[in-house]
Amino acid sequence: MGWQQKVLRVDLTAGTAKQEPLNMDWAAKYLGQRGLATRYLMEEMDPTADPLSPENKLIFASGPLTGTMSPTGGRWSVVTKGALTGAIACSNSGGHFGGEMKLAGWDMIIFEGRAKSPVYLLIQDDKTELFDARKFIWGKTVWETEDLVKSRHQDPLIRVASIGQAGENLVRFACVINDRDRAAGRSGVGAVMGSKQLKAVALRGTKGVQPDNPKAFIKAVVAAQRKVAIAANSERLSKTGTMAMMDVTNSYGSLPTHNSRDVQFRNGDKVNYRAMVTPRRSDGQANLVTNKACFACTIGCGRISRIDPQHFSIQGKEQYKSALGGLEYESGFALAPLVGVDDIEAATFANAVCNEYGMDPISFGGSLAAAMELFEEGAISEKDTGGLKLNFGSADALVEAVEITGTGMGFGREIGLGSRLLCEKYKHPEFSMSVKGQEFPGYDGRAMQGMGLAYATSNRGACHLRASPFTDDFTYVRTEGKAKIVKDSQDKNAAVDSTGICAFAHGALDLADFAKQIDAACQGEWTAERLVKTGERIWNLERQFNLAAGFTVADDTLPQRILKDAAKTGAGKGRVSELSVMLPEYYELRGWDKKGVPKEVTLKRLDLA
Amino acid sequence: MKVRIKLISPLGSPPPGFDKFGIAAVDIDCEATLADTLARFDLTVQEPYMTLVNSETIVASERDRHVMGDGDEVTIFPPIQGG
Repeated sequence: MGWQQKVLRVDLTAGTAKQEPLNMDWAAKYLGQRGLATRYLMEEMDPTADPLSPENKLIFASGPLTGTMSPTGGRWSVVTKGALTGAIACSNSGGHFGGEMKLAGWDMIIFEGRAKSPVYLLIQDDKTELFDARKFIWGKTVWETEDLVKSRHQDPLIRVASIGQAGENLVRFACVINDRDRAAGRSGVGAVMGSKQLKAVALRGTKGVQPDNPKAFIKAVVAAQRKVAIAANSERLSKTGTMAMMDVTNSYGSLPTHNSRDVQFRNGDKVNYRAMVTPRRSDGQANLVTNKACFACTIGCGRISRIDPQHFSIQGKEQYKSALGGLEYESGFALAPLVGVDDIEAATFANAVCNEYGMDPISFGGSLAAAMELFEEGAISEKDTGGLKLNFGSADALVEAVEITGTGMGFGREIGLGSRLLCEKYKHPEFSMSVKGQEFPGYDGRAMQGMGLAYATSNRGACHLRASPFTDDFTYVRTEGKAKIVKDSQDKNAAVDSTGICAFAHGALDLADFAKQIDAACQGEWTAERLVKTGERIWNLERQFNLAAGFTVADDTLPQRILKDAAKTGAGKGRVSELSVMLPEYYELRGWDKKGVPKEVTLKRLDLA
Repeated sequence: MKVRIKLISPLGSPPPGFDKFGIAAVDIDCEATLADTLARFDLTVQEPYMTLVNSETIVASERDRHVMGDGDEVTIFPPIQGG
């Protein structure tokens, strides 16, 4: 079976860890990862609970194809109630941790309660043990934690997922980092982990995953591997990563710049893919060193960079002088155009600090951009910031801000609130470019009307991965047809996020290719149609969680800037988001009433009633 | 007229006429269309692609009707998705 059929339940309050069988009825309806963990969360916790209280649960979840030879089959998710949003949170990560969890024999790890003092969990196949993290790794960075745990337990193949000081300090956009630079990045899942005083989970697995029909599985996997290997999208992601997008959004006029006051960045050529690969004058080397792949991945979209050794940001800081995780489009946009910075070395440094201290670079960049607007509009001054001049375009401000946010020093504690709470505190909530408290990714909803709708309706707050309206959005600045594109892709993506396979394989594989692999790995008749229905069920389940948590139709919206201030340039020049046109059609297609509540007939159709 | 062309994330090496970063600058006739401009290059190895002239999307069916202007910037990009 693709599933190991085992869940590890860790009661941090009692300090115990117990094995229990996976609920196979739910696995048949929700697959794994995002869907299955949300089912458990919905069943086991009160959605109104404070996300940072012991009543919240934190679930590490794999999918049925995680840990198999399925191409890109190394994905895993952290599912919880988000500290940044108060909404359902599912943050999906790659690297090798997820595959190792499966090879150790576990589909899922459920953490509940709160440890009396900081701990970390070590799993070696069936053997599980909680260790005291005090005077060892508590207070350490993600990178130090990983090295120390491997050293203490004398196994370099241990895989570690941990929080840095940001998670310990409850930075609202803290993430969980595994394998040094792979992140379950969004919605503040790292703050939830910190609130439970759980510093790290270390894994070593030596078992295999036994598909239900090995012969059929290998046939389906080899066919999928071939498709991924020859796909143009794979070649592109391997070569340029996701940074190719910077030139597209900048040319089109959908690149959020200066906290979304602008949609094109004048100095975009200094922070794009070309800038990453052009040799520097200082040392003759390029910022980009090579690419990197996750478990079972033949694409290798990850970026490995080396910061200019003469750059001011790393003087006297040895840990940044070797090769480290580099910029991808989302971190690149958030740490450069969004804050007006055209220094790719400073942005690379800020990204490295986000990995080191465990922060989401999108939300950090969005929160810093909001702080810069507060500063430039006079709502805060150097007195508030401790002397930090938070001007758009200041690489010095970016470098200092990321360090003080990661360590929780001075004004960094304010930035660590996230843009919504920060802007509310200083009486300018309109400066927060967020949905449900989560900062925008790198697409503006005025030129890209479909993405605006996707942000507004995303169950975890503004997100570019929940829906895929890219092709239509880059072709037509219009509202017609967007609701269906967004709804259909939300359902498909929810299914893919529950399989254990990466969304980037989705560029080469259609749902039938996914279904063949799942069908061979798991019992049951899995088809593309069943996957779509499963995705729709997951989407509606997440919606039910949010409604129970207190979210309403009023939360399916966008900042006033996107709804009322027309884009100044680009394809969307003179346009605002026409969300009010698209949203009713979207609700109708979803089978929801005018208040955004799923109708009884919809819930029955999806076996959710 | 002079126009600048940016080929985003080409497959393999950029075709002849583009530099290694996929940038080309060409002289075209007055009243040349976007299709005329693209025909100057061998783009056959590329996937189906999308085109912007400055920030305006020109769909494939309009390329032979869109008349270029001096100083225009053409962006050619595949149907990429973000991540």
